[in-house]
Amino acid sequence: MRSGSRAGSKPDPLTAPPADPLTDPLTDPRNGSPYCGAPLKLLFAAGASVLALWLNSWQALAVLALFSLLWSSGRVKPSLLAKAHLFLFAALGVCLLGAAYIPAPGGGMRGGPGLSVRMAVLPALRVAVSMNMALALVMSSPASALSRFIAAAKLPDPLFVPLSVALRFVAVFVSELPQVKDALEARTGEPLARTALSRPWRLWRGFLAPMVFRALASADSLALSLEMKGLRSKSLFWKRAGAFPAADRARLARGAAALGLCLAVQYREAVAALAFRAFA
Amino acid sequence: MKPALAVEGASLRYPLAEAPSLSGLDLEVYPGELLVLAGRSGGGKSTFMRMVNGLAYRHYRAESSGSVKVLGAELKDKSLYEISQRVSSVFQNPEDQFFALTPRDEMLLSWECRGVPESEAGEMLERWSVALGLKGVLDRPLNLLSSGEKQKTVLASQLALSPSVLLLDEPSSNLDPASRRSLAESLAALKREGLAVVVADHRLRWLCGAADRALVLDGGKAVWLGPFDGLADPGLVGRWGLRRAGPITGCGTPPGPAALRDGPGRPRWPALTASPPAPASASAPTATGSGAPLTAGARQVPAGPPPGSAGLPTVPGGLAPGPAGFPPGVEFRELGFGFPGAAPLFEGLSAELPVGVPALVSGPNGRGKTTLMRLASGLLSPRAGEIRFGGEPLNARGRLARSSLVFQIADRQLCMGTVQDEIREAWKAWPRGSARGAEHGKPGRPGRPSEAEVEGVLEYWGLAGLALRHPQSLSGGEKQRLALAAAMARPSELLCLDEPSTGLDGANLALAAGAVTAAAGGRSVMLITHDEDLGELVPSFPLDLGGEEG
Repeated sequence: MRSGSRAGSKPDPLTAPPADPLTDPLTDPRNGSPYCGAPLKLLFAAGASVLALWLNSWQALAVLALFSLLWSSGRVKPSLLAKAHLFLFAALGVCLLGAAYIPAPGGGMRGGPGLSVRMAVLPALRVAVSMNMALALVMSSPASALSRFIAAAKLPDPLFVPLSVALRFVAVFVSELPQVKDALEARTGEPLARTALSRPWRLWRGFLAPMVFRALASADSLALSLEMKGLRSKSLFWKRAGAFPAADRARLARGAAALGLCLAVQYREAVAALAFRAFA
Repeated sequence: MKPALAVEGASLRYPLAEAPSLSGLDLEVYPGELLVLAGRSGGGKSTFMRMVNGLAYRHYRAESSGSVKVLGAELKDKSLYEISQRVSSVFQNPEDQFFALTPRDEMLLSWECRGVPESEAGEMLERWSVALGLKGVLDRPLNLLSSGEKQKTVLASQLALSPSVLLLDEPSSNLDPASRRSLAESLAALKREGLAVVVADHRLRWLCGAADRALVLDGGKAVWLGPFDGLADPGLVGRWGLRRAGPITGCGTPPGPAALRDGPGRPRWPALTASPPAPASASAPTATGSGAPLTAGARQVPAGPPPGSAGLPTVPGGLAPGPAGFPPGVEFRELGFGFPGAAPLFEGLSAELPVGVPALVSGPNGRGKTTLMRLASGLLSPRAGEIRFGGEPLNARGRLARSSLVFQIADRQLCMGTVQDEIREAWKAWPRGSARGAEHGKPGRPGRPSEAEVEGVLEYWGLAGLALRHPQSLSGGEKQRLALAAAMARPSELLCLDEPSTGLDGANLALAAGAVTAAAGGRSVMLITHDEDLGELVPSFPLDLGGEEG
């Protein structure tokens, strides 16, 4: 029944009834992909993160960050995305403030004036791009689809197992954050934001220490769960073919165009010269 | 008959541990038998489970001697994966076993890894999701499921592959009475189909009618082995720090399904669905408002008002005053709340939590007990209505400053470097020179506690010998006691306790009950628990949120 639904004439995605999730448990009703679009998301996430490291123009990075935000906003709850950005920029702000007053090699303190806007903005945009893409990838893809796609790449188990755990860990970390925040607020008797402003040193003990312990414990549980299930590259043997249906290929082309636009912004002078030469 | 599980002369010692955690254990569990492991915290129950499911030597690298065999095959030289094909485990916290994000994905991934053909997956998913009542939540994020639904997801992932032995570690800790009954029925049905089941739990009463034998472990040794009914002996209960195993209302031999499997290797249509819940009593009082979501299917606390609360009035329906004769404490007025995109959880909820007697909040898993606690303590804000402390309406920030909480998983609340610092840190929040309240029976205290005072608190909770240990290195029961001690040492007008008896044996349960009762002397206490043992020990009045159980 699954093969029948895909083998016939191509259904209109807007009018075709969704696949029965029980009889067709692995297929994404939107595009018929057995991987639920996970390969596409994984490629986008990896491509955008690498590109963010390559780009060094704030304009190009801003365009890329905007694209990543738009892409992830359709896949992740807006409230989660907003909190993640708030957390990211608060953490980066603390780091940058610290970096602005580190001891200078010649003695004394290297103060704020030495810190350029460029030094602050570029890392923030890069991290924002990676965070948006990682959240969209992990929060909207079934763990099995991601692992199945990695398995299809025939990675050896010493790479496959940690990579599977790492991809799944992002979601565990995200679900732990609000619970640790609640525990901290219950201890301090005040909202987290107030503690961060009035007594930021308490965040280390009250927030980061439990978070680190829970993260370690969660990573341990994930690895254990994976081991007890016997998850190995070869143990995932369902549907290794057909990773990219036509709908995903069109999305891939659009995504590649978006990444290309960011590169064009970075090298806009060369692009302008080329365009001028072509039209002249 | 060949035993499903045979343990012969098994001893086990964890790395760096001075004493063995299990020593000289001999035991046989037969197909179709349910064995209960009981005993004090730290007695060796969890270690026994880890020994049988292979985690002790494969994951914790413990040294072991003796043999552990399943259907005659030695387990020690097998990998975790090989062992897990014969022995299924349900951990105390099922979340620790999930790799996927939804029940559907979790089941499919588990089955694929164990060689189930893709062509059979759809049918298996249909069969197991219907049998365990998971069909409606197959695509809901696992972290949003109730404890019972999480357990059922683990069961479906593992039982579909016909193991020989099933291990469950404290499976009742967060289940409501209906879910416990449902689980007991499922276990009785599974053992009738030839599965050997081992359950380690402090709560024993839910197993009556399903359990056959019991093994009491203390200090890593088997100190008593006999029929399950033998645990009702008061001498045994007192000597080994057990909880009572006497029967509870409605507990009988569960009417399980006739068959679970239709062949040696492949499960048949599983019929694990719980028996229909008992009809709601027409006269069942609720502490709810007039809104439809709260009144539908409302029921009385299953075990009835606890004996300790005799003389205290049951809270009537509608706008519910607290019991007479107690000073006003926390008050909910016409409270409305619902999560975005979901049906309203509370509509027009009004109730009082007076000072002097704890409110025992009851309702089935997922009914909103923890959400009500988060609203009361200021971690959430209501959509409508107001919450008053001592007659004064407070916003979320104000409520947060005047509340202390103990969550279901205590790990996240412990963040100091030593056990004694946890108490000291919580205690320091008392205003200098203020009265300390009734707990621990001491008079007023300054803002910073003396060494003797901290020691007194630790002594009470049986943590004195662990004062310099890192809190995260404690066992689950010890962490739970420390979180309770710290929350009660913190000054507050509202003390919220969410399943505080998790991991507590009989003796520690009595300690916790005494402390909760004393703490209520100076503040409102909101006690959320499905534990009838705790409910009976703490004089309280019921605050029933209603709703169908199970």
